[in-house]
Amino acid sequence: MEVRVDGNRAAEAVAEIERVWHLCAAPDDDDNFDAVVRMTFDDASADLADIDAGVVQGRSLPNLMQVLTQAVTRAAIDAQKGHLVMLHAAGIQCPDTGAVVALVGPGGTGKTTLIRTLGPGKGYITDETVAVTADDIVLPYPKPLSVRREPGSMWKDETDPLEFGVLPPLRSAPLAAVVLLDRQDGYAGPPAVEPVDTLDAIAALTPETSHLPELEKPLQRMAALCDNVGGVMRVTYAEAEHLAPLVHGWLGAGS
Amino acid sequence: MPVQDEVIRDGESVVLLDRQVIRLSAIGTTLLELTGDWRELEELTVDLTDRFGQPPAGFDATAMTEAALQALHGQGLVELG
Repeated sequence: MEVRVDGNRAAEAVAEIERVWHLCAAPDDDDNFDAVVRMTFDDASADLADIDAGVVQGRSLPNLMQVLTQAVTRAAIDAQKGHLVMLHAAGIQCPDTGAVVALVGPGGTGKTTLIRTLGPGKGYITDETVAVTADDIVLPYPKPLSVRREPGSMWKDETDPLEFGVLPPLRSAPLAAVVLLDRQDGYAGPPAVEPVDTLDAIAALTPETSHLPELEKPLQRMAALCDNVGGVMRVTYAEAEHLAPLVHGWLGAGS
Repeated sequence: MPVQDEVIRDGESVVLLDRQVIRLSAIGTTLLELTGDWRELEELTVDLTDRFGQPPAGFDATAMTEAALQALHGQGLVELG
């Protein structure tokens, strides 16, 4: 993935990208890019974001950074179709073993909140997409955390994840657990965990994947993934902080 | 109708058709398996009752088979002639 920046204020944009995206930086000697996003930061630019085309431009850097994240995520997901299982999930890693738990939920579930609440002291894999290879190894996507500027606002500030106390991901990242999130505002009591039958898990996980049908034998791949982590669980809860002991256990179970 | 992929466990299944994943009961899974070629409703009813037994008193096996076929048809999994 390459981001090309131009415009009369390109230097400022590059500095900001390097600041908040540093966990995703490619090695200096890596010049094999599978996707490109183009960004223009210029005082004369009209605001424009064509996420499908991977083109963003504008004259407000915070707004531009937000749509850049959307464009980079889309381009990265599209570049990996047919190769990886991509779950809409927050990924948290055990800092000792590298084991990863994928907390799967649709947009609005609060995956960024989960990372901010449960992630400090643990490896930050992603708050967006947990990408899994055919060997059930997770490829980290430690993008900036998109933090809502104020309650109810559609605008978010792209933030360096390390500001929230998470750790950079370890390179070795075996998938240890897959958990379906069922957050219910009115739910009272401790989180309820239940195992999910593999067929039901496949049906529930599929809408929370990207490009699954493009994989070879996609349902059999999902079944193998579910089996290899010892089965999928569903957790019903109200507040992210209540999941802390469970996440600790799931990460330990993978070691 | 050909499905792109399927997983069968304990007689039940999930199938992939046109980017949709459909969860099927044991009867739905069996019917899909039995309808690879054109079949008569009465034949399918006999096959189903052979495998699953007769329905409870007051229910008609042929009507239940037809209802299950209609459900599969509604999901795009079988053609009805």
